[in-house]
Amino acid sequence: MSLFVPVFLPMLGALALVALRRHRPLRDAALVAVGVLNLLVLTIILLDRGGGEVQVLAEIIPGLSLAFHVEPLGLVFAMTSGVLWPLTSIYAISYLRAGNDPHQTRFHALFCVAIGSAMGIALAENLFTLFLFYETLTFSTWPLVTHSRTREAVLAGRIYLGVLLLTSLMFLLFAIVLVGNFGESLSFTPGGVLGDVSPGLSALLLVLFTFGIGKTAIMPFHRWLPNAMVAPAPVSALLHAVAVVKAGVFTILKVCVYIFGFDLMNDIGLRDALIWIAALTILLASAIAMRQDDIKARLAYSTVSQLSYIVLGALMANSYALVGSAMHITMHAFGKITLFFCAGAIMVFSGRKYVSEMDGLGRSMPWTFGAFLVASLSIAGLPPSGGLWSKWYLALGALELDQVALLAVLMISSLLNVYYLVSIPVRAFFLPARAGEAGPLENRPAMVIPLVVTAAVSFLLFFAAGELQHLLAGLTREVAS
Amino acid sequence: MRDIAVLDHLPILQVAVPLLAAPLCVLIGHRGFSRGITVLVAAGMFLISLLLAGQVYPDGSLHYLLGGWPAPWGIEYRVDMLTVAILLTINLVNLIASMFSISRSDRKFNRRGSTAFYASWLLCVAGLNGMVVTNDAFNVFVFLEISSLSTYVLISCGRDPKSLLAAYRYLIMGAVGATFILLSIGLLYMQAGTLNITDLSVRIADQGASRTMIMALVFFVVGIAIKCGIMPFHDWLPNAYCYAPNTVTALLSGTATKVAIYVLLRFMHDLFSVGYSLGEMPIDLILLACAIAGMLIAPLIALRESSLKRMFAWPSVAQISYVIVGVCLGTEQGVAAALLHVFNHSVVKVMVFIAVGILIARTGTDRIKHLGSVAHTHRLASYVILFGGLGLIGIPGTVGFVSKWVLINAAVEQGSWWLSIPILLGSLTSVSYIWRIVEILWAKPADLDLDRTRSPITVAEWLPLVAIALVTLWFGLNASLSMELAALAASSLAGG
Repeated sequence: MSLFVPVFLPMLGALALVALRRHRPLRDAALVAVGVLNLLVLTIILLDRGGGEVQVLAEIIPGLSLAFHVEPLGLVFAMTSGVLWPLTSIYAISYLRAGNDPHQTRFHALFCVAIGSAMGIALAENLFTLFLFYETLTFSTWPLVTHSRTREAVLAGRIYLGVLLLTSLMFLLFAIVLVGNFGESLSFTPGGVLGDVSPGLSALLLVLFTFGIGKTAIMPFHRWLPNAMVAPAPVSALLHAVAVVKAGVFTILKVCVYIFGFDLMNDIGLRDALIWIAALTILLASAIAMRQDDIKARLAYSTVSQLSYIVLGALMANSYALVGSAMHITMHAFGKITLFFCAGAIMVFSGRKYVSEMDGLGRSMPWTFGAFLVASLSIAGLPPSGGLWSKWYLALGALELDQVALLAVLMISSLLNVYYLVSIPVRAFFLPARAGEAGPLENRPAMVIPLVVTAAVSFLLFFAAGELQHLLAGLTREVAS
Repeated sequence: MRDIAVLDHLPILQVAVPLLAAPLCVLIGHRGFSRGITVLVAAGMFLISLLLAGQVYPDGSLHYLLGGWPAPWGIEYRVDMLTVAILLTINLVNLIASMFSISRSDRKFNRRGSTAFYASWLLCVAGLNGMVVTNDAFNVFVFLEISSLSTYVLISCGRDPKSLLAAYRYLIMGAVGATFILLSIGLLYMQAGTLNITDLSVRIADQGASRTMIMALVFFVVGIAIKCGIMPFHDWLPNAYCYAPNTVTALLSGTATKVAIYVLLRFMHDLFSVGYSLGEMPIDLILLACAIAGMLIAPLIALRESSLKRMFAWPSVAQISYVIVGVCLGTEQGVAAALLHVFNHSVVKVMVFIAVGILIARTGTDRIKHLGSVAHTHRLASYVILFGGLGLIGIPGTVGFVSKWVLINAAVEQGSWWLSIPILLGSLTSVSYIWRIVEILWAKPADLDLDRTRSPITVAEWLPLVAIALVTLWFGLNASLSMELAALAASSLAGG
């Protein structure tokens, strides 16, 4: 199966949406259809992988080509986004219709471009291709962040674009240039391409990559993510909990595995300092999240914290941590998207967006808050939820590195997660409602079904983690040898 | 047999055709005729450039003796890959810009004014082409003056009365620059007794460095720096671009400074030789300092501009700095990167200025603050501006990225990897002004009555715009052709 299909199908879908802009039902049907078709294509790719050949679309300059390939990490990322996209589309259609949004076509079309870019990142064969789609992802999501065109949104858009472009053009591009000149090639190669690079340069490169991939929201370059929350809920859900941020952590994972190689990573002394920056981000972001009353801001800081788990795992550079990180891409995606779906549903249903207003709401929205509870458990890494396994492997990775302190960080963070996430559904279910509220029971089904499905998957992943591990097994063997 | 004879005379035809068409315009004095012949000549010149390219590809060179006089005595025209690369660039730009010039985007003239305008246009193009094909130092000066004088006229044709002032300021600066170049050529003639560039380079190499040589080099570099619009000598450029008619801005942005770069390359690398101008003299350090200042400061000034055209004039100052960096590296890759950027920037710039011209013609203003939400009614022009902006920043997938990537690689290869830092910083600062304009065009509430600015885009507007946008898109996604030409051109310079 051609790998160009999943990358360009969503982009063509965007054109189709624009063409169908006058026929709303048809347009929305097309949106869902493209999502399902894309998922189908991805499934075929997942099933018949093995050839693993490189597919070159164009060679821009000798040595700089637009090329795609399939490897386990990319499959995890692509499948995660691919499964969640049609669900988000259904949710987004009803969300925008509920709000009577005047620019729905623009919204959906840009959404498609963003997903196509994420697919491009997932399947990129070299750093250049990855960078190209990394930037298209930035540019296509900017109009989504500023969708409402209010002053607040435009300002947030500036921070969004400013941070992401600053880091990517200044650090990431610089690092890619250095790899291109001093490394063996820009292609992702098992074992790395920096074999004969001086220690000083490899340390510099690691720093440049760690901070250059601003989409990982590692501190101090995390401010864009909470700001991006002015966007409509479906954007926060799929893009700023899954596609965009996971593109960032996926990139860092891929760089650590295929550009540096674990042997070189373990030789870089500066690596430990970066690990602690990631650990610090985990704790600090959780601490900030606890103090947020706005539910979306709280979720955003929680995302900042969770992303650094994956950065941490990538930097730890051993096969346990690798499995943990890759799994966490999926586990966190399903958990966090559920939480954002819930936040959006609550917003549409009751107009409330602060945690302190949630009291008693659980009785009128049982499905929504039930899903919220399951997803919170998954984010915190408690059984029975998929989130347990990724944290489990990350903890094993920390032990492999003899870093008991890191283990402590992971534990403390889980406790904080329980405190600031699980408390929300608990309030909603057990605290008394404010007087005089007996509205309709639960939201419209088109909004509730997606969030129940994603919550259910979060739960089911507890049992299906073995499949993921199986998918990654080949990679870990390669890395270990 | 006749055909073959014509093909032998292509180098002179490249210059003679527009030179003869110019008085024809005035003599016939018909507006439609002038327009038609300008476009026709432009197409013919592009064709001639293509034919010339076919004749010298991949590494040949043509020597055309004017009047049959042998080289050191008579005037010689020389066409090699470098010449062809520049000829193709400027004649492509001229073709696109002249197509745009027949649109009604700035109709101001009466009948007689209009024919004079097109006559000046043709003269300007003749001068620019002449500077490129001639191999005679004094001839370079003559053509420089032909193109400059006609450029002053073209600029003064702008709608705003301030265009007269802008033309006057450019005239003063341009005259100073031309005088410096003339002084330099005079000193060279005094020293070597010849004006043929090839001959000069041999004799100068024999004689070695002298005080006269130093003076000649210094006068030349300062003079040509003014013509290029390198940072501290750029003062004329934003005004000239801003107040000139939209079509003239499109033409100038893609040709005038680019030809000056060509002359700089010819003189620095051929006439004075790289070893002298960059080895014994610290020209590269001085120019590099100017270039770095240019690429970092110009975007910041652009951010504060209130006029759309003036804002897009600053990237020219910034982008020429990247070219200068390539030139100053002194290596073949450096020159190739510089030439690639010359081409890439030319196509982006002419594209942006045509789009800007269309917007200004529709809205009747070039004040940025009045252009809120214009993108929703003038989609084509706005999206082209966005696309061009991304190219100016150097986002991957655009031409700007290709040449910056090649330039950085050339710098690292040459050992100056630190140069990649200002280059990347320059890209980053460019984001600021591009994003300001994007935010205003798309997101700022409308200031004008947008429905009243609606009017259909004519063929003379969208055809050149779409054509050049497709060219830009193509060379951003597949740079093999432009890379090969640039590499061949650079090697012809180093070898010659």
